[in-house]
Amino acid sequence: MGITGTEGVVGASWPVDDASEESSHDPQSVTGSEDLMQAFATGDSKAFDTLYRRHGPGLFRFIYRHVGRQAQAEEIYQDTWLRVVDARRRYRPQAQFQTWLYRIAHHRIIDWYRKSKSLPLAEPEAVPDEPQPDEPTRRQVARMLNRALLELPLEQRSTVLLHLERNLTLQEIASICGCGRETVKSRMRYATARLRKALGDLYDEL
Amino acid sequence: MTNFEPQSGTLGETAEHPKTDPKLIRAYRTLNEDGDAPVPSPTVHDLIRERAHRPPPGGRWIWPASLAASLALCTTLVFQLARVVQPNPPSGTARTESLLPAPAIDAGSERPAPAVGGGVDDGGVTSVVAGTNPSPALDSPEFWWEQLRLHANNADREGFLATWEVYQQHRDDTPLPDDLRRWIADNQLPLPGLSDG
Repeated sequence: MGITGTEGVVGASWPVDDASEESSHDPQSVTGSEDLMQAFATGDSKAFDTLYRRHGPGLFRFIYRHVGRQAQAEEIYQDTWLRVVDARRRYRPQAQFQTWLYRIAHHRIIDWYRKSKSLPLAEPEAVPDEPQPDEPTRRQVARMLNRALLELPLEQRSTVLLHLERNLTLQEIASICGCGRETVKSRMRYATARLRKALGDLYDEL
Repeated sequence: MTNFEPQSGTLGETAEHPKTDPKLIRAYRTLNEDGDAPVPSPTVHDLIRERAHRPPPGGRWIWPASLAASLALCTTLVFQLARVVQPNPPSGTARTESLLPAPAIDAGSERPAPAVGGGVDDGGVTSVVAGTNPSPALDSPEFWWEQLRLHANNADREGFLATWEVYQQHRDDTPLPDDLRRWIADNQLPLPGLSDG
């Protein structure tokens, strides 16, 4: 699944696409990421390139949809990957690579929110324009969904984004967020209800 | 953009996955379509890639075994040679320049500075050559401690071990200072003779 516009942004030396991104349904490719990380730990930097191509796009979308600001998303994204690089020799495949990666990102996001408590949550960049009347319904809904996501409480946002973006299992989301499975269920329930409410009548037209 | 197809019309929760709302998933997918997918800038990609391809700092770089062994041997030979040379030759007997390395003894030390290279009249080489100075402090524990500290401060385990080996031949019963003991413990150096000093 390619990302529109990605090729134009990223230089030829560092192509990024998520065509080979793994999902939690594919145990073979999950194992592949762990193997790649171990290969990277022993000095195979090409293995990192593959990991980055595989997980980079989805990770950035998760972070961006969480914080709603390009600059902060890039900062957190970069910090997350650099921590992966720095931790290469300490990496032990006790958990899925993807879970480990998103846990690091989740912690970085929480840290960022703690540090930026004084900042307004949504800057103009983070709040999309009001839907235009002639805009197709699905685009309107998408914009409203973006706004509604940013208004969710932090942990509910993490939970629902991990679900929407990666289709992770309850246990995986619980592991990333550091909570129990029942808590994940509960957060999902509240978050979904809020999002539906925010979309209003448009939700029914989807 | 999700990596899975929502099953149309199913809202049931499996044992593993949270409840799925196909409409929300569709809306989220739309959010990342049509050029709206957020992507990091090329600068960020390049920085991450550069770090990933850079050798780890101070990490896997290991002293080549032969180099470490050579250094240890050289250090041992130098000290052995210096030991063979009479520390207190008869008055008036000229001596060649000491081969001892720079000792870096504290300025406030009461012990005389051991010989160092060069011809400066610093109370070391010149006076030893003239035969007026006592031993170049090979038997001084402080001398060895300073040598060990030099290695410790440079995080030079190999150098530390080499010096320690020679130090064992000269040490007396004076207990090792705490800072050196701590450094040895912190670096987990299995050193013979540590417990009895």
